[in-house]
Amino acid sequence: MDSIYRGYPRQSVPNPLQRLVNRAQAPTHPETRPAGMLPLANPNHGGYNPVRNLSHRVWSKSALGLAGLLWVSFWPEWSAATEFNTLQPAQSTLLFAYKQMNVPMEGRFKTFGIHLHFDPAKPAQGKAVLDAPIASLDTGSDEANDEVGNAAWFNSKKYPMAHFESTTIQPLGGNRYEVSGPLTIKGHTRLVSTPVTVVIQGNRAVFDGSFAIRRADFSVGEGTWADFGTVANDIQIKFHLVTTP
Amino acid sequence: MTSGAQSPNTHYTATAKGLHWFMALGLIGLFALGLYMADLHLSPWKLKLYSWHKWAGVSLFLLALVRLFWRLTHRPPELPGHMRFLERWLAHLGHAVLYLLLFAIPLSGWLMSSAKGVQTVYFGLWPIPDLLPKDKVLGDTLHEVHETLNWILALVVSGHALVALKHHFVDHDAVLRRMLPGISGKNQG
Repeated sequence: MDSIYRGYPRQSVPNPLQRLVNRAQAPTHPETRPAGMLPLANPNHGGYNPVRNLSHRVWSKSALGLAGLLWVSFWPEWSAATEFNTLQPAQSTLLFAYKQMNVPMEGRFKTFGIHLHFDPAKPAQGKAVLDAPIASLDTGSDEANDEVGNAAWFNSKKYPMAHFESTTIQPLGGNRYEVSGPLTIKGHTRLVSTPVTVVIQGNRAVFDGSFAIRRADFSVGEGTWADFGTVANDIQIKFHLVTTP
Repeated sequence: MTSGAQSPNTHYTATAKGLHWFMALGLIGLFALGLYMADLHLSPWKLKLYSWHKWAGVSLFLLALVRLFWRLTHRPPELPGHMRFLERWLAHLGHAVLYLLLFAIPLSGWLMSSAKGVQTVYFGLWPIPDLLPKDKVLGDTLHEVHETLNWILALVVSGHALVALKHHFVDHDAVLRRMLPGISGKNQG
């Protein structure tokens, strides 16, 4: 999936000042979402009861015998974790890679908001809702940044946000999951799915994954830009999300 | 050295002439293309021109290597005997600067592409490694360097051409003729 990236690690690291700005700008509050977007998950939904969840987990999993025992052996580590719902914007990245005249290019969203709930014990019941403002899109060149808001590209006046909302999370074994749901860009909605690897380190959960979309599916790059010979149709989206409880 | 001490070399090889004129045309074309494309508004056409400019630039860089190799292994004809010390010194300096620019200009373009984060993929097929990590400020500086070096080249090439014409029309020597295609240059010392 991430073959575009191999050999071209060109991820730029924001300076500390920029990180502070990013953190401040990240639309993590539901009231900042533009009208017309789906309601965002409430990050403060609460309701998590460790005791209830513990008994549920132990009873259902112990039925699996050895597998249950193996699982229980991880319990001390997992018991400390609740849900990982708070994005750490300064440590997280949302990148996209594409080819322009067959040259690998990489851009990123300078700010984005994501509402997660992820309980490691009940991954399938997790939820991810992403909102990424088109205005924060950095293609890597000022010239192109001036252009991406235009009607031919993202028409950001009319469609200011890219939006994704997970509908299913399927375990793929180990710490890998398949997350699927509708992705809306420029008024076009397509079902996308992405593999996600979850790594829990202490009180942080790190979600990594990448998936491909086609810009033509979202009418991104119309008119003279519609020809894939200059800017390729395939766009690789790559995310690295660091979250804390 | 190839012609031996007893018969001084009086002409350029066909290879040297071919490289000289092909690269002259290529450099003029690339210079004009560079001036034209830089001011265009962003469009697929502009992206194509930039790629073509880079591919042609890499080609001329490779030819410059061939040319340097040829120059080092084939002694060029002597300068005419009537030239004074200062003129000889200026001629050698001018040629040295031209050779230097044949390398410095594509190198500055390569560095600039790297710093601007737009790798060069030769003919869209072969990625050429970036020499620098992406750095916007450095990329803009290298843009200035690339442009300035090109204006210096334009100046030195103009001087080169004017002096060649002066040799032909004022000094009436063979300096210009011996570089022209189809003239062997023998007996024209």
